[in-house]
Formats: sequence, C-alpha cells, structure tokens
Amino acid sequence: MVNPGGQEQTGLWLEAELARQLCPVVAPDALWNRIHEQRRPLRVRRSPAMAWSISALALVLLVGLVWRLGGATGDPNAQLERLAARELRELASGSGTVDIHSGDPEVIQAWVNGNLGVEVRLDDRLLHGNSVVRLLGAGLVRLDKSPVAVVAYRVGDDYAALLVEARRPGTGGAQPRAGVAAEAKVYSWSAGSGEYAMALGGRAQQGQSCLLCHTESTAMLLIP
Amino acid sequence: MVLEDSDKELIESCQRGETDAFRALFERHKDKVYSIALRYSGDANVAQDIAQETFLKLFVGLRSFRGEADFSSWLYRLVVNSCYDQKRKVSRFMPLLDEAVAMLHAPGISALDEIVRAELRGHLRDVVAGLSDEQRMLLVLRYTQSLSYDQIAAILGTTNGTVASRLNRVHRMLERRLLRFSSRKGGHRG
Repeated sequence: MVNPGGQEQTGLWLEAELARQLCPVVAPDALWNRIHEQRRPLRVRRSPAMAWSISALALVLLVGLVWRLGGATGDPNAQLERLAARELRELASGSGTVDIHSGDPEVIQAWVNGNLGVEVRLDDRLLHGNSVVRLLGAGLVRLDKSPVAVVAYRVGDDYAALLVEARRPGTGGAQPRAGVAAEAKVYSWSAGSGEYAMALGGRAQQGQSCLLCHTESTAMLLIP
Repeated sequence: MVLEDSDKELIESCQRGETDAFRALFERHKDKVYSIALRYSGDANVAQDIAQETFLKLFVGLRSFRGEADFSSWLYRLVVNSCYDQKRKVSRFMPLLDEAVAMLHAPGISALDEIVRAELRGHLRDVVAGLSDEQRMLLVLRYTQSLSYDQIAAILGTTNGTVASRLNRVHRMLERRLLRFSSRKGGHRG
C-alpha cells in the first residue's frame, strides 16, 4: 500500500482486508446472563446507602409536596406523587431504580405490561434521536406491596421519572393535576387501567414534559 | 432435543413460554448478533449492550411473530436498529477499521515504511470514522455476515441496485483516500 500497484491492486487489497478484519466473532459467555438478568421477574428494590438521611430529606420534601398539592392526604394518587418525587431524586443522585436499561419505547412498554399488566404507550419519537428527551430504562418498586414501574428519562440537563401503577380494585380514576415539590414539577393522572405520576426535574423546561408521555392520551392534554 | 429444532419450532416453543427455547434460540443466533454489533461499534462493551437490547426486543416481539421465512431478516433488522439506536446514545464509536491496517506489516519492509504505515493507520481511522452509519452498516453486513446484495437490501429496506451502488461508492472512496495518502507519503520519501 505504501507503493501500491494501482487502483486495481488497492481494490483487491481492500476487499480482502475488509473480509479478514470484519470476520465474525464468538459472543462472550456473559451475554446470556445480562439478558437473563433483565428478563427476571419482579424484584423488590433494596434500600440505598444512607437510607436514614435520605429518608429524612425525603420526609421534609414530601411534606412540602403534600402541602403544595393542597392536602393530598387520603388521595389515591398522593402516594404515587410522593414516590415519583423520591424516585426522581434518586435518579438524579445516580441511585435510581433501573432494572432494564433500554432506550426503546417498545421494550419498556412490553416490560411494564409484563410486570404490571398495564398497557403504556410511550412516544415513538424517542426512537428517532430526540435530542431533548432520552429514555433510559425502567425499574420496579413497591408501594403498599403493589408493584410500581418507574420509567426513567433524561430530559435536557435533568431527569424525569414516570411512575405507573395498575389501578387498584374499587378505586376510580384520579383527576389530572400538577404541582411543585421542592424543585420538581409533579403531575398525576389516570388513563386506561393505570394510575400515573410524573416528576420532572426543575432544570427541565416546562414544554419538555409534554414529550415524555402518551401522545394519544387526552389526560396529558389536560395538564397545563 | 430443542437445540436441534428449526427456528420455526424454537419460535413456537418460545411462544408457548418454554424457557429452554429462548436459550436455544439465543445460542443459535448470538454470534451473528454480537459480531454485527462488535464490528459496527468497535467496542466490546457497546456491542454487548447492542446484543442485549436486540435479544430483549426479539423475545418481546416473538409473541406476535408469525412465519419462519422472514425470521432471519427480522433478526437482522432488529440488530441493525439497535446499532443505530446505540449510536445515537454514544457520541462516537471507535473506528470500524481500527485493526484493518495490521496487514500492512508485511515481511521485508523498512523502518520508514513502518512509520508510513503507522500514519496510514491513523489516516484510515479518520476516514472510517467519517463514514455514515449506513455506510458502516453496509460494510458490516457484507463482510461480517457475507450477505448478498439481495439480503442486505431486504434488511435495510432498499433495493439490490442501491446496495450495490452504495457499496461500490464506499469502496471507491476508501481506495481513493488510501492511494492519495500513500502517494503523498511516497513523495515525501523521494
């Protein structure tokens, strides 16, 4: 190649080398374990380090949230809103609950459906290189022994946590509402067979929250 | 023995929820998926992420999959899309041809040639890093999996002629740049 014998020789060399250098390889043994781990069933989230200090901080923030939301105690979605705010903080601190790492909405939808039996429709635009909103994955936590899916997003320089819970028997759908807790915007609503709460970091812009959820959900359209 | 079954039988077993069938299907196709992911990304960790996402999509999608004829193309499309998705997440992949100039170390070359070849390696790295996602994927499907133009066209959703012309264009471009670089270096030697 330093003294090539012409374009034809270069072409032959290139062809042979591409075939040699791009030859197939054997997948590592660890690959199945990674896949199997992500397909595992419901897992209870373990307590993070410094649980007491975080819990104390969370308590202060959650009291503020409840107060801001107008006395949400007793409201079926209040607990979910509080949990959303907590999961957002953990996500931002790097200790968020993410059991499945994927940027594919279909994978996350199927995962949520498989764990909760709730059909969630995430925005397909996330697949197409949205530079503002990026789907990170999902995890499972418990709220009063009921499983709750936490869908994690990166939104600009901040994060967002979308919580999904199957509607409990005998409860009606909650009215959509919005509030502020500490520096997070918190939304909650009902759609289909699910209850939803979303916490959006304060550094994310207001309009960016619209990109996160169901494009076809009228519930989201009601949220300012 | 489920490992000896055809893809169709394995898929049907997966659809019935037989756990062993998932593993068998994985074993049958893991090298193919991982090879494409690795050759596209140039990074073993990224390749595992791509392969992982591909198989998760596969297992999820199997529930609604019908027919055996298109399974291979479907699987290829899944891994191609996972590669593109991963590329969007990672700012820059390692060059595809990072090792492609190792063959330049032929017997009987001078120390100066070694230096030139080292520079050529760097030049190739830059050239390949500048390839578009589609050009890079074309090379991987063609050379890693030895797929025909027809097969590549089916996977990428284009025509046989388009695949042929795009591959030819990539070859010509690589050749031109290698020749230009070699000539320039050869001139410096004289």
